[in-house]
Amino acid sequence: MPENESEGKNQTQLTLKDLREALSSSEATQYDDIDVLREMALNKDELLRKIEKNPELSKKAGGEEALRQQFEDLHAQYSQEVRTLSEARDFQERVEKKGIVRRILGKIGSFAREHYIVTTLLVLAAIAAGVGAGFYLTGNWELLMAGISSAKKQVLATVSKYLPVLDPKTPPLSGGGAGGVPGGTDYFKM
Amino acid sequence: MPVIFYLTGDEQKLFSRIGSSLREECNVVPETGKFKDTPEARAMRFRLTRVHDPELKNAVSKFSDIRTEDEFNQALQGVDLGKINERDFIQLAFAIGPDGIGLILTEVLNNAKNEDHMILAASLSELRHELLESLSASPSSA
Repeated sequence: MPENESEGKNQTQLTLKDLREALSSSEATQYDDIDVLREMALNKDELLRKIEKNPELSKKAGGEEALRQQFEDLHAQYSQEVRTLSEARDFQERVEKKGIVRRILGKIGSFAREHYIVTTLLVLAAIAAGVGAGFYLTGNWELLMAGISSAKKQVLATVSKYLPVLDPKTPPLSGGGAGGVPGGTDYFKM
Repeated sequence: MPVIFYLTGDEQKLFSRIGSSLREECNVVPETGKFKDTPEARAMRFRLTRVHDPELKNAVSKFSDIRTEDEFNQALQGVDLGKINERDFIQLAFAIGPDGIGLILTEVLNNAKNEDHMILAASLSELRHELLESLSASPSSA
C-alpha cells in the first residue's frame, strides 16, 4: 500500500497512517495499523469522535464534513479487515463466556507432547502470525524441508494446508506495505 | 451431566471406534456449520492475528535458527501448549480456522484413551462450533 492511499481505490485522502499518528499523539498508547482497524471494527463511532477532535486531520481533509466522508471511505476500503476483526471479537466473546479454551488448555499439553502434529500446527500458526517470521525469511524453511525425514515432511505438508501459502503470483492484500497493515505472513509454500 | 460433541459425519465414525466406557455420558450432535474457508480468508485472518504471550514468543523465536530435524524437534519440545495465554490460543484458533481445529480434533478422536482426551475432544468440537457460528454470522460468509 503506498503511503498516499489516495492513489489507490477510493480516492480517499485519509490514511490508516493518519489515524494511527493522530491516535498515538493524543493518547498514551502507541497504536499500530491493526489497532486502528480494530477500533474501526469495534468502536467506529468512538473512533470518529476521536479523530474529529484532531484539528490537523480536519484541516488536511478540508473540513469536518470532508473528514467524516473520508473516514467512511477508509472504512469501506478496509471492509474485509473490519469484518474479519469483528468476527474475531465475536468468536473471542463466545468462547470466553463458555470457558471453552480454559478446558482445552487444561488438557492439551499432555496430549500434544505425544502427538506432535498438534504442537507443530499451533507453533507454525504462531510463526505465520508474525511471531517468528525470520524463520522463513532467512530461508531456513527450505533448508529444513531438504533435510528432514519423509514422515516429518508429511506432517509439515498436512499442517501447511491450514496455514497461509506463499505464492508470489498472489496479489498483495489491501492494506499491506509500509503505510498499511503489515503483510508478510505467507511463508508456507511446501 | 452429559458431555456434548459437535461432530461431522467422518468424525462421528472415529468417535464410534472409541471404547464404549469412554463414550458413556457423551452426546453427539451433528456439526452442521456450512462455512467454507478459502486461502484468501485464511491469509486475512493470519494477517490480523497478534500473539502477545512473551513465553510463546520466546519459544517460537527459537525456530529462527533451525536447520535440522533434530533442532526442529527440540524446539517443538520446548513449547508447552497448556501454558499458552488463553487469548493467544483463541487468536491462533481463529487464524487456523474451523478446518485447522478439525485437524486437531481428528487427532484427539483417533487417539482418545482416557477421560481427559474425551474432554479435550468435546471442548475442541465446541470451539470449532462457536467459530463456525461467528464466521457464518458475517453477511459476506457463504
